[in-house]
Amino acid sequence: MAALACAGPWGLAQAAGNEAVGDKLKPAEPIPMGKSLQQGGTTQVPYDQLMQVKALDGYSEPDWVAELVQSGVLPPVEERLPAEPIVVDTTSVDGSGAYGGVLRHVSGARPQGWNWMAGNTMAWGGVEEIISQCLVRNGPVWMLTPEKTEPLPQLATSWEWSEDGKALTMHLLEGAKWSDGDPFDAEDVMFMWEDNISDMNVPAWGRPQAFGEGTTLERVDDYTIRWRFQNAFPTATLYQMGYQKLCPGPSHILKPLHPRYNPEATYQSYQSALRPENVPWVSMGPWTVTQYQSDQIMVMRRNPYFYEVDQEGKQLPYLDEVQYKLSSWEDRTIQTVSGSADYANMEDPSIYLESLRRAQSPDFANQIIWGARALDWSMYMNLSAVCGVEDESDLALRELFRDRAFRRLITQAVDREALGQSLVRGPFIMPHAGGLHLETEFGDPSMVTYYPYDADGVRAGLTEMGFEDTDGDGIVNWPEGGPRAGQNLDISLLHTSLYTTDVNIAQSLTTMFREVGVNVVLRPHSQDAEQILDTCQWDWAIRRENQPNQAPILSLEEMAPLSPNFPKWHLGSPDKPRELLGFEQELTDIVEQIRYAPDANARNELFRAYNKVFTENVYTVGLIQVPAAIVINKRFRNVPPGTPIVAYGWGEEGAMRERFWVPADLQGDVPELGEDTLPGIEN
Amino acid sequence: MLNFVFRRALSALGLLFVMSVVTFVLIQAPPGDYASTLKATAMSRGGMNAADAEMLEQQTRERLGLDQPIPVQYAQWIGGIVTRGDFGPSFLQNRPAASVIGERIWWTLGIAIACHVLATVIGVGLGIWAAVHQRRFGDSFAQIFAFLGMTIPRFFMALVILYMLAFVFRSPYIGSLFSADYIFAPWSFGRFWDLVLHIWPVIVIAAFGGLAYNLRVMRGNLLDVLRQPYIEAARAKGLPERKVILKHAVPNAAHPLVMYQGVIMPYMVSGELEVAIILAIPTIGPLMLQSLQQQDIYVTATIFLLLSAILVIGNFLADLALAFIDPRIRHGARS
Repeated sequence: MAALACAGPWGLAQAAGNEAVGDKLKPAEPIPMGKSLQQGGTTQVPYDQLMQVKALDGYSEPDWVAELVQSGVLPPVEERLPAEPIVVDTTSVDGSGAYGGVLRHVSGARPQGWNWMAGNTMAWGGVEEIISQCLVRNGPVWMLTPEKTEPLPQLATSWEWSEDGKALTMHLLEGAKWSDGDPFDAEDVMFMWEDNISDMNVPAWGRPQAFGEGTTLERVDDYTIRWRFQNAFPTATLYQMGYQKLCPGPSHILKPLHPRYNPEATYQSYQSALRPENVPWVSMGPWTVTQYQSDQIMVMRRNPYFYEVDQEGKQLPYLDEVQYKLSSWEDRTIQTVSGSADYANMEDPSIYLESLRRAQSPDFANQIIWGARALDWSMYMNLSAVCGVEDESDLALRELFRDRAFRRLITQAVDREALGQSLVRGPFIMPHAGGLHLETEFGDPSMVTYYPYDADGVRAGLTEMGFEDTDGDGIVNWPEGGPRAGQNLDISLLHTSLYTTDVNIAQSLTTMFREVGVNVVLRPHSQDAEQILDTCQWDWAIRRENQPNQAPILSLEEMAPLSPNFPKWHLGSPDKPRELLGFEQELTDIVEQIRYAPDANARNELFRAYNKVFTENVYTVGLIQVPAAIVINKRFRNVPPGTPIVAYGWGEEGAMRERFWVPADLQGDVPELGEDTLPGIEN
Repeated sequence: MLNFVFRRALSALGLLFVMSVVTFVLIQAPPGDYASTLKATAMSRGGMNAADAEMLEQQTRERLGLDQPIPVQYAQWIGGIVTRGDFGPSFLQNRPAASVIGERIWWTLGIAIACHVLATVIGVGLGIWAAVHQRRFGDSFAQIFAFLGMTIPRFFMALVILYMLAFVFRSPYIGSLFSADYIFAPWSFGRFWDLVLHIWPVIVIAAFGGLAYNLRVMRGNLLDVLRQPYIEAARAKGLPERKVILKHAVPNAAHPLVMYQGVIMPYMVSGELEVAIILAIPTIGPLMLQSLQQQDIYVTATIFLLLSAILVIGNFLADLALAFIDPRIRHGARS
């Protein structure tokens, strides 16, 4: 792709000169590829095998639940399950499991209440995926084989497009029941859509326009709903129908609390009605909350009406209980590594070596399951010519960043190998060219234009652009003729001081840029770094990305300047729209095509094309790609190899906890707090 | 005396008012607010798209009154406290700030008082012992002990203990007040012992600094007193050494420590907060940190107000005690 000149009027090299800058530098080369750290490869399961909707010959349940059926307090399992339950494959992992056992989590968040449709959070850390079930399920998509990757069934079991592609008919899980035995049907879905998502007085997690302008939803019958869209085949919209977006609550409980149906209720009372201590809570999930002690613990017990079974007809989940200790996020890692809790995400490279060293010991309580290199640190350059620009001097700097030749100089000033090794020695960290991750289902080295480290070339290129060290202090000076004429090339670098890795990267970069004559001034911030990004009062910034680059289908609007808020490094201002660079329109066009691409293969092709344009133009300065791992106690089975801590969902959901099991002889290691009890069932 | 009490109470209230204004303005100083934190959470954890998150942010700001000017927000907050005893909502937990803080404050105060008692009893005892054994091995040992107590940062001690408990001893008693099976259990000796097993690191670390202070002050003052002529006179009269020390010397050396009691509570509370944050014990400390980070402003402001009140009340009581025993204070020391 030709260099896109955007040179300012202050004596910087013009378009032809910019080509000359490129000539001084080492050309692009194949990106160095590291060996995957995933042990046993990645779990790969065909779409139609992982979750099927079908009736089996018979069903079974834990013995102690069968006793409750015998005593008459619970209907038989066949009556509690849908006529065609969701059959979850376990042959791709360790197989059908034993009933019983406890999974202990730690969460740093606190539940605000159980009415998630009214904006309440439920403590995070995987609580919300248990308690709120959605129309479709995204988390396990990472393990699907490439021929078909699309959201999996959950409360909607199948869907078909109309011929013109403007209507999508969804079939709901027929005969499923809430954990109190009340039937689930289209009324629950329509209550969510009409009285929560579409009611602007309810602070819902999503609004109708998230599904495309003019999108409507109608009830066809008790178990069928139909979407109508303005544009044909918005296939990517299916992903918006999962986690946190389209997850109905129990209308039989919530309707009487909603102001539209209860004149005595207010929107505030509706939002606050379902306090965390209001247990047992009613859910469609595999477990539901039965005990809660503020700031200390949430205990969840198995939902006797859960709608999934394994291929042998055993009703899921296998585990009777999930505990959520309410503490801090730091405590989650500490407790898990020490063996007092069972699950955590390991995403801080500074602890990798120590964790692996400890894992060598046979009495280490956990297994460490590496996922893809799915975390990355990148450096943004503020490309806005309008937002946060107060004078000619600011503009000169921004115009410099908008010059592709300069961005290429900067990316080739970074020694990514050294940067990675300075953080943690070993095979963990790989160079990152910016943009999407290579270790995805669409990843391919050909989608990356990688510019190698070349300090000498960068120095020559800066000279070519007119930057020379005229005062002998080791920093190049701006050329004559502009508002910064003669000044040192000083650039501030915003970064968070909350995480060690960010601080270390920022300090290393300062040294690297100084070697080529650019003076980078560190600007550490704690919580407010995000706000500073939004107000455009920054030059360069370091940020860690994960999900948008690993599963971009979930965040299409973040990939190109489609909405006013993205990308963060090129914002407009309220009175002045941003001035797009030439290739940005190209990126926007590709993302629009992705939105309506009919299948995964076509989408993946477009993702690769997108990344090529992105990296050729050095849209961001990629730094390093880092793997992450989940740490989980060794007593658990059916934990899929290669589970990412975050891809299409967080690792807790991506791993499919309802099929985890613990061998009977290990179940006593952690006692159940609510042994032999079910939510809402007196026994 | 009544006049003095009235004047001091009035100035204490004035000080509290000024502190409440300053803290409220300070916690609002960083850019952004809870609505922008929620927006970031909705996007990063909730997977919300940018346009929806923006809308959620705006709606939240309006719903919670965060779009009002800071003086209006302050007036509403302080007005709620004065007229209704309402300290505002906790945005993060969707319930009153007073209830969120109320659940934790008793643990904080209880731990701080336990630390204070331990620090006083052990510190004073060691101080007496060190003074009596001046320049002998025990004295040197106590001096080193005090030196360490006053110089090692509490957060560092907490990190070391946490590391040892978690990774060396694999203790299950970390990061909470009770083990899971005792959380819902009624009080019993077993539950109390379980609490002790969880809570001792906080008490030991928070008490250590205060203990060291008491030790040094007691030792220094007692050494001064022991050189006074009346002590020599007591000895010359043939009183046993134990009686000389405990009856005549110690009471006269304890004055600075008695005066210090008025301000010790905030010191103990702050020590407890620091350690509880590292050890993730659910007292006020972690709550304060979380509310600051996520801009849950009414919780932060109420905690600061509470800590200010503890400090002001402590000083007020100390002044009263001083005035009670020293007329020059209550009369303004004019003569």
